[in-house]
Amino acid sequence: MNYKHKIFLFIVVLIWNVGIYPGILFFIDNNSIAAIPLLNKFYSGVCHQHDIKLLKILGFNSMVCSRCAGIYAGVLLFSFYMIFVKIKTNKEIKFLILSAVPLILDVIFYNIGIYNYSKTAAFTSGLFFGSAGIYYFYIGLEKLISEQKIKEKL
Amino acid sequence: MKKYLSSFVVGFGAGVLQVVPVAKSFACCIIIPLAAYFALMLDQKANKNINVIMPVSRALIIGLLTGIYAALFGSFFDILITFITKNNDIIAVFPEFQKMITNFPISEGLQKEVLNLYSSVIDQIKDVGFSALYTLSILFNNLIINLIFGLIGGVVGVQIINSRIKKSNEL
Repeated sequence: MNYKHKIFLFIVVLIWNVGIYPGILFFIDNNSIAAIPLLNKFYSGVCHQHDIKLLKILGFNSMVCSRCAGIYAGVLLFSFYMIFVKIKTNKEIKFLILSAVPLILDVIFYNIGIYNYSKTAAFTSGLFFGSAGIYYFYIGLEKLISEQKIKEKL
Repeated sequence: MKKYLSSFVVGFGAGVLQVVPVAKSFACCIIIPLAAYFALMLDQKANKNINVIMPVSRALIIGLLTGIYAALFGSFFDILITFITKNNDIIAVFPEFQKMITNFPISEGLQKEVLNLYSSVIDQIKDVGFSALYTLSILFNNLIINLIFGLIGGVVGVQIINSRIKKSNEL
């Protein structure tokens, strides 16, 4: 993957993340507030949007819950980091599964009542999983590009 | 079509799950990537390629197709349920939205325009159970989201499958 691909992916992820926080949109342009119901419907496809689990940023509730916001923040942070780093395709898949452990544990512990819902815990566990997830997605894309190169050579 | 039957079958299942109330909460975030992963496994089993490394390009196509089928079936069921019941989420949240938008510091004209647009959609759904704008927005929405998550599920899922194959081949 070259810089252009990585920057393009980063921009897509950035737009996705900005859409999550209407407060930021409102800060950019007051009239963008009219798009809130549409954004709400759009993001309802990726999150349950339970009121108590939403983050409040710049006076507006986020469009996704803390856990999903953490996942997408992790994706954003790592896609920025990946612009400057060469992708190693030999990473073992177990790291992806390990990164999901805190998230799964948080879901289980909260649901069986060991502790109350914590936005910080949900966001942080999501952040881990999002970062690892995007890394393996990049590895997949890198492999896809090498496959195409081999096909072209043949 | 036969070549990508696994995407069709799993996409149908995911489409159904997208309209089931509790499962709906997990839609896309979990359902679609998982559906793409299952479609890959099903494809391998159907083609008897269990011990052959799958190319990422094929996984990408299967993931994308699973997303597309899930979006089409999910939208169809959503529209059908709306048509039969003449009710949906938009009607339920409209009063709250109405209250919210009147508190926003935006011009009255814009407020009125937005509310009129939503009211017309709601009236159409209440009267005939169908709104072209709602149908289009649902279809567009589901296609974009399911396509993205299907693609991610395919590209990441194939690595899980291939790593398992590599390990079993090494043994």
